[in-house]
Amino acid sequence: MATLRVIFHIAANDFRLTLKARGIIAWIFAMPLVFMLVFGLAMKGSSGTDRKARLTVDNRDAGFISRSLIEELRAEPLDVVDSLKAGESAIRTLVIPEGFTEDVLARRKVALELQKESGADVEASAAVNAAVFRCLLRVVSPLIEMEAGMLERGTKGFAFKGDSLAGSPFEASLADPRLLGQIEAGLDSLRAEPSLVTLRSTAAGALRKVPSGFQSSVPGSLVMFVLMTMVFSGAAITVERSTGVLRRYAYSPAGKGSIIVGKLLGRMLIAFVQIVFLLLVGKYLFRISLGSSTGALVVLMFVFAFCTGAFGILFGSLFRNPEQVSAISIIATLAMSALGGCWWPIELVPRAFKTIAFVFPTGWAMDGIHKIISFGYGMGAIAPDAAVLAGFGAAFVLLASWRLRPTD
Amino acid sequence: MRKIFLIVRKDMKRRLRSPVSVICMLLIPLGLTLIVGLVFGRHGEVELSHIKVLLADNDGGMAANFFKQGMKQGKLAELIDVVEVDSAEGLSLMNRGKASALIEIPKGFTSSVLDGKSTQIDLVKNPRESFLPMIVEEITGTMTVMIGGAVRVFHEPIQETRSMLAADRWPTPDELAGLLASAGPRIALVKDYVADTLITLTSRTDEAPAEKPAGTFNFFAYIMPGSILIGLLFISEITMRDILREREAGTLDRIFAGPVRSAHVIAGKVLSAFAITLASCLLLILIGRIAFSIEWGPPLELFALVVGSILMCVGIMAFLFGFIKSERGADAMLPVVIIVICIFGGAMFPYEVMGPAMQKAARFSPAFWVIDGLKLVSIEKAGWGGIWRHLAIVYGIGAITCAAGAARLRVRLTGQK
Amino acid sequence: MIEVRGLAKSFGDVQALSGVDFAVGEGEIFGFLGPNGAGKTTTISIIAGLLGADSGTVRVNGMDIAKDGTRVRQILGVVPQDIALYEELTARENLHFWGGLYGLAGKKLRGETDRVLEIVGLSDRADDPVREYSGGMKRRLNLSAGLIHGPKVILLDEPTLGIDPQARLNILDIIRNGVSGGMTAVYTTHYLEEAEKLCSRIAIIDHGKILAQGTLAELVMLAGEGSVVTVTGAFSSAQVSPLLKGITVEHFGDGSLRMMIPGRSELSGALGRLFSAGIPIEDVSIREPSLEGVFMKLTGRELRD
Repeated sequence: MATLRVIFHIAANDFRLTLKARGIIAWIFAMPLVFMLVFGLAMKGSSGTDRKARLTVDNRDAGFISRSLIEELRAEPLDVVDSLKAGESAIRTLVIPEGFTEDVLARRKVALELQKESGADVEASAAVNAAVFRCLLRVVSPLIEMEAGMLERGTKGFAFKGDSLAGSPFEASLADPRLLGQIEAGLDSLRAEPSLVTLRSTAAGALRKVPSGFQSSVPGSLVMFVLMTMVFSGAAITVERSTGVLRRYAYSPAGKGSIIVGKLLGRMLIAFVQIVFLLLVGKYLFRISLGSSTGALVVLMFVFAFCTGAFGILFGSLFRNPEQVSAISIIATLAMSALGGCWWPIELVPRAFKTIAFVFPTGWAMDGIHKIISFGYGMGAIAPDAAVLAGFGAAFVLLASWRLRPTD
Repeated sequence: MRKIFLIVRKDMKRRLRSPVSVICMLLIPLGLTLIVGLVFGRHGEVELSHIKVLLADNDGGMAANFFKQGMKQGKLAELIDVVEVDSAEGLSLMNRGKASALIEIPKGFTSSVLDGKSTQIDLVKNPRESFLPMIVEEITGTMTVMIGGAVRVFHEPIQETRSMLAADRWPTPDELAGLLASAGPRIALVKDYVADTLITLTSRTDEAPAEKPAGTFNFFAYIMPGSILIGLLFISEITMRDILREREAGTLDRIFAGPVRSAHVIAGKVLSAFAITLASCLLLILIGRIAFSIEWGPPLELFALVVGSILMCVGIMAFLFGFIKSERGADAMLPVVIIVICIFGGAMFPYEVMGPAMQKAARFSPAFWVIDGLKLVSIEKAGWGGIWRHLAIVYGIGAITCAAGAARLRVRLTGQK
Repeated sequence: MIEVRGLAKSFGDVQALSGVDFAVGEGEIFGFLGPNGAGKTTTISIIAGLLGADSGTVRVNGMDIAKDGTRVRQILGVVPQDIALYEELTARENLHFWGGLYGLAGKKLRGETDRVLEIVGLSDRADDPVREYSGGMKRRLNLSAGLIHGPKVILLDEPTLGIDPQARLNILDIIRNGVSGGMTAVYTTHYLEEAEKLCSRIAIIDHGKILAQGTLAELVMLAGEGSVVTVTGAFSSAQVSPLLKGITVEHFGDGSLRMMIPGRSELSGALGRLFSAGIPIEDVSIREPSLEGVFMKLTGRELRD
């Protein structure tokens, strides 16, 4: 009972000390926000719905095929612009050449050109490319149907002889000017028919919801900055050792175990404050899903806080020179978070590094968090991650208590 | 002048005696470059792994086959690894995040399509991945449009064939002739579009990219400039921080007790910070050359850019330290400022991958001009003409911040005295 | 109250302590006098249970530190050489924290905090962060943090290190008043005056061995009855040495001379011979028997060497 009180006493003191260091506050609250924002915006193209790729259409054709094409483009998830405001950048322009409709109807070769400004987002450009291609398909296939109909009806000026086509709808229209109007009306009505095959997108996991770009930047920043806070606050132990404060602890009746557990608990409290803050920001500011199992999230975050807090203490026990610690801690956290998968989408990383991620607690934490917030799983799914993190934490604590001698 | 020299010499000596912090700061850019480089290609070739796509065909019919063949041919085959699974297995793999996406072709897909009834293909995406599922979605979406179109165009011949096949007797010659008559022109119509590329879509990027120099693209050259800048900002921070340290230790007062003007002290500090940062930077460039085989490009241009960048880093720090009262304040403020400058300038990850808004914002970060300039010099081997704008901006910011910083520090130091 | 028997401790090849024996009675201030590196801090660390001894026993209030560490620490206060405090916290917050480690809480903790702040004279600055304190104030707070839990025994490891004479006197007063309340104290120092002023009994330690211990009077006896006489002037050693036959000369150089002279008559004899020989003497100082003499006799050097 008395031991417990001493542990809480030490924990409360370390908690307070951390909050008194203004430098740490910036790292706890402000920096992760900046990271979430920037990384989230960078990944945002991924979500499809979050941001529409911009396409400026430069239509130099007056005919109905280009009109149909533009109508189809507007139905795609694109931001289609036909006139630019002053100073606005076109980014990508689809140039529909003069006489496009006539050329197509005359079955003459014609080229559409998609111009991209240098620096235009590569992915968005790829999406625009695919969309233009789809829209062309949607215009061309009804057109072929119309043309087939014309051939079957034996329209003058357009015929199928032997194995090949002779003439064109355009030639036919020269003979019968009403034909163009009929093709246009037919094309419109065919296009209006619902598409035969549709695509429905869902996501795997229990949530079946497609995540937004922030869904990957929030967990990554959270894992990295909690680790960073813990390592920084672990560095405070180095200072305590150099000022003799640690020795003073040892003079008191509080045992080494209580001191380590108390210090660990104080750090875990800080980690919790940070985790709760960042998750709330993620949920309400960046609108990410936190999954459906609060229990699993709490358990996972608890072991994560335990593991990183223990790592911080181990870190503090390993080094003597506070100046060294601050630089080494930056390198260590950056390396662990980069290799653990906090920085970039895991799928972009070569297979070997996907495996290497699991050498670090950060990899397990990212895995667990995504199981909860991306896949919507509960306790059962994260049990291995939680167990490994707890194992890491226990090992860190043991090493730290072996390494930490108050008499140093 | 002699006094300034004395101050610089003293600072350099002190820094050499306890080099730990500078060395640690040097490790940061090297570590960053190493990690990013290792993860994204040891030899500098960025290589996307194949997209693993699961395909569950619950139909087995002609249309489904057409779809599957489409996914496996041509360019798509280079991009996508299609693994056929059954529905349950596919879903369970997806739920464990083992592939980027699962495409499910429903039972009765072919007959619905042939009957002209609308049907739906299900795409299950991996929620943990950001980019790859999107690519699969684009491809699948296009495939569905193609199938829909093809079915429309060949609707009549298909219907005729089906009724012939469904009948209990052999088709009559008339029926066969009719089928050919309706299919022939349609095939000819489609052939023009597909094989003879009646309508083509060409892509063109403005500002034709500069001629790539011979030799392989080195990915390290692409990421190291950003890392170097982070290192330089941190190193100039710890060297300029010395002003606070010396004031707290009282040695600054002692210097002022002598016949030394504050301008001497400030010039001395700025110069020694400059010298130490420059030395570190040259070291980083050397390590980049040796360890990461980076060809840094024309040396004079590179040196001019490096000197300007360091002037800028030191200037920014001098300016900031003009407002900071204590080391605690420095701890709280500077890393945040540095990281924000770096992120927006594209030091943490290339600004090319950020959205257009961020790319515009990058131009307002001084870091952008350093990083972009270094990349131009080292990757494009740009000469004076290619980087004059970068040089002007970097030297401009350097001069302004140094002047403003000196003025501000002077107020602080003399006010203190 | 404290009983130390046959204490030995080595760090690698360095024998830090060998055969240290001493005992401190209740209410006593026991001085531990020795130069830097003599083994004072090691002894304190062993008594406080931070270090295990290679051999020997330490009993505090009848309890063996090796077996009853926690119970001993409960009644033990330590004032370390370092200013081991949280500089970013206020004095009061520091005392609340350190007191809490000893199980104090609530009203009792607040009361004790006020009490020790009063003792060390920091009540009016109690709510300022420690980093704003002067060196002397930090030392006083460092002392109060060792007193907060009302220990029966206090171990003071050079508590006046690095502060000005005024602040030092202040701290000595605080300790003297504290002990008048029945506390037992072990006081290590390398300042002779402090030990002389404060301690009822003193042990002289050098190279890990106790060279002598006893009351001030007993120790002075050890040094022999005699005064230390220092003579300075424009003379050379060759001039004066023939005049000082039969007198213990401690230090002999051109222009200065230090002698150990057993009695008054010998003193006047020696000085008389110097004066009558016309040696140009500028200054003569006579120090009565003191710890310094004892230390010099035991170790052959001055304490501050």
